[in-house]
Amino acid sequence: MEVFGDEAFNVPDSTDWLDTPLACLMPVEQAFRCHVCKDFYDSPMLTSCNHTFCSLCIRRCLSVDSKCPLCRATDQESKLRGNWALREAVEAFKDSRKALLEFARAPPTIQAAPPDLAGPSSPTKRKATEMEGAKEEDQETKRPRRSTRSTKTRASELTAAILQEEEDTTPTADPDYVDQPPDDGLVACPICLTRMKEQQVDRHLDTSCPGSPQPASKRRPTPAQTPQQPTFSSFNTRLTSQTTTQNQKPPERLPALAYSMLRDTALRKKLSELGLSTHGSRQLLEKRHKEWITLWNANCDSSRPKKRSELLRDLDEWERTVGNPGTAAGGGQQGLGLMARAQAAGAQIKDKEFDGKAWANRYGGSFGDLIKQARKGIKRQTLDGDGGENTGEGEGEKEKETETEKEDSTPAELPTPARREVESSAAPTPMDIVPPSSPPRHKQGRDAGTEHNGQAPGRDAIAEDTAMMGEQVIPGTPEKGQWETPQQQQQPPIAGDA
Amino acid sequence: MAEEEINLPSLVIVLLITGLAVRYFFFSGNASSANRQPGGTGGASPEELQRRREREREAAVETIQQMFPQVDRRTILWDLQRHGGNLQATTERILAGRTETPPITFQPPPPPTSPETTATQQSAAAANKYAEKKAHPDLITRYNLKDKLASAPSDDAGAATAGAPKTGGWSSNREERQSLLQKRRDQMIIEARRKMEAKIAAEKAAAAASGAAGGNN
Amino acid sequence: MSLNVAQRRLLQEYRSLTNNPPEGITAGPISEDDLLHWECLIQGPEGTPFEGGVFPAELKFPNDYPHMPPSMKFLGDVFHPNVYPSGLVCISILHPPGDDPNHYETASERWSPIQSVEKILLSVMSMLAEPNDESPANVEAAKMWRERRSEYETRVKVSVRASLGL
Repeated sequence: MEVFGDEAFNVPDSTDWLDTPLACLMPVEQAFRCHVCKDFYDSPMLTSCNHTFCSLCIRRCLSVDSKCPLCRATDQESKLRGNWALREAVEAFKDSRKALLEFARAPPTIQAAPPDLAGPSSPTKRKATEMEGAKEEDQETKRPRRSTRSTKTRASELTAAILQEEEDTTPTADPDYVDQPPDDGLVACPICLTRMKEQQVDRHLDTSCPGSPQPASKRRPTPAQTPQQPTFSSFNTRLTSQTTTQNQKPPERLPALAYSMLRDTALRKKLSELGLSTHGSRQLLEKRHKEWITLWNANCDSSRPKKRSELLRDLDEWERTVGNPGTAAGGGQQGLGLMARAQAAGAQIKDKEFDGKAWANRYGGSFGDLIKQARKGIKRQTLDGDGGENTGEGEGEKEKETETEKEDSTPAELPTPARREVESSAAPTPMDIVPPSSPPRHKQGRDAGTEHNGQAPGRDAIAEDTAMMGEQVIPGTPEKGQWETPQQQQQPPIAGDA
Repeated sequence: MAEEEINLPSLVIVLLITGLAVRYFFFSGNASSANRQPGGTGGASPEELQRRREREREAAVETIQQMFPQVDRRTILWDLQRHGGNLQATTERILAGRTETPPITFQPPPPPTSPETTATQQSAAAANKYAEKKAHPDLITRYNLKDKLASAPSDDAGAATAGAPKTGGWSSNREERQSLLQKRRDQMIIEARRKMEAKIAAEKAAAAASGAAGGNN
Repeated sequence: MSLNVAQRRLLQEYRSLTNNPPEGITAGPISEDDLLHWECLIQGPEGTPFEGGVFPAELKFPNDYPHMPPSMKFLGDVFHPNVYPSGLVCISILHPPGDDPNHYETASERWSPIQSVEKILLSVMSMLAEPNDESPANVEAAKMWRERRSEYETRVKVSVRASLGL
């Protein structure tokens, strides 16, 4: 596994508040976190059952289970609705979190100061100072503004953008939005948000106020007033180019496909239309398409959608981890059964660098033998039906020879996944298929049992092989009772000789 | 005189096939009786399947051991596991002398005592499992806590009661986190061990006291 | 290199468990190089034969955690109806959402992405206290637990002491 930098490991958590005097903020932060990813809500969505999750999280959950993870009520992706108020609250909290935490962790002398006046005494905190400044301003102007610190400003910008994007403009949405550079001495009209001198506000309200918020471009004399969060810069560039983006249609959500109705070629075509890879087995194609739809639709819910290239990178990342069942063996692919796993193992073979010809040359012989063997198995079954004991024994011997040949031509290092795949496709005999009812829990048990043997790749497949050992050795096992009984009678003296 | 013309390989092959036939006959008998036995769960519970698989493995090992008594069980199991449990392949490799020595880390499951009767086999397997578990090193050995346990017990106990887990917290340094976690782990085990020691001592004292009281009366 | 969803969430849980460890539970990745492989210690619940014991276990998470549950395996001897002789824990919370091998677990008892390591470990603790003998993973233990409770308890107590080196 990759080694990550320490920054990547710095994942803030609600329990960070516990050892501070503000431990009461832990539940507050918890309320801002998604139950699935335990991270702050990212594009929170409301389900039909009134629960909220990140867009990506709930879409993934629904694609796995079609149920709300919290109450298990059945739900559909198309019924999800954005929870923009929460999104705003989360953004605001996220931005203030660092300052709050620093404040809470500051030495007790500072903490001892009344919270209202604590701002100026914490030297490094720009935001806190601004907050303080804003408060003083509040007192002077006696206007009932909640806050004018930069984070709030940002949130208001965000909201303004949402309002415009969603064309969901209500004049009374929130009169407190203030888009104010700290020192320009202007205030915004509580209704149309146009910036003006404080003294002008009353007259403006009575006479010239248009009664609804004006576009950001009009009321934004200094667009350079940007928040400090680097992550937010992309949004700001979006915002400053609002006039152009406004006219662009928001990306459209992709409809889910009924994969069972689609033929392979149609699915491949769909994927290539979307600009996605068409490599891999049918199952992988479906999974890839599904994941892309999930990523794409979740991105549509986002307040600052990622670029397509970023989404493609996400998909690639997914493909390398979750999409690759070789590593997801721990549990993800459990329910998929033997064939699926074999197919999935084939995905490795379909890697870009994979040299198909060499592979075919190398293992062509064993593939052929396996097919021959499987055919023989079927033939033998029918033969055994009417043949007597002697036939059985003779066949058995012949079978053994084929077996020997096969083993000799099979290099010892023949990777099991490949074999697995070949066997499952080449031997359509019923005995090759593990009972579909075989519970996945069980696979874990075997996994656990073999894990000390020091070989990571293909362990599952080997375990599976072991499980099927009986059926593989002598094709036609189901009929064995008919012809093996007499041999058993001969057995004791021979065993003694050996 | 046909028998005398049989060469060694074909003899081996015949042996092998008869051996297999016997194994499969026995195995299927076991499986069906096992299926009947637990009852209730209807079909194959994961646990039952596991037992079945274990039996399959044991059957394979036994077959090979019958043919090649000189090859030890560990090698056979290793080879079977490495090569997908293919009995034939393993036989071929042993014949060709191509078996590998298993690495030290490879721990083969214990052999069952009697594969003939399902009931005894089952309990024997369970007993073996138990014995194997017993072979797990105790926690003190496992986490290498002997020194810590010996050194300054009072000091340690003090630290433990001082709320070692609470003082932990999240460190921004990766190594520190790791060592903190380990410390908490060790602390938990040592604490448990101390408590258990105290409990046993108390029990002994109580027993002695009651014994003494009984003697007096 | 960024963390994927599973790793990020596990790191979050690790942090939470470090900052605010639940009583009787210590858990974390064996190495932070592989966040999908954890080792944890569970204290035996009080008032049960497991009392006083400490039980190491490993948790292995799939790449699509939390959408799929991890598997849990005790690393020492745990003689319990719901623990396979191999140490693998068989408990409903660890069963993947769609899958119901035994058909008697209600969906609400099964895995859901909102579950967490902490909840799993707490469930396992309560499982130690109250075995579910409807789905025995260890038939011998289940039988003994049902029919000869005192023998079962003695056996557990002995193994608990042995595990502490006493």
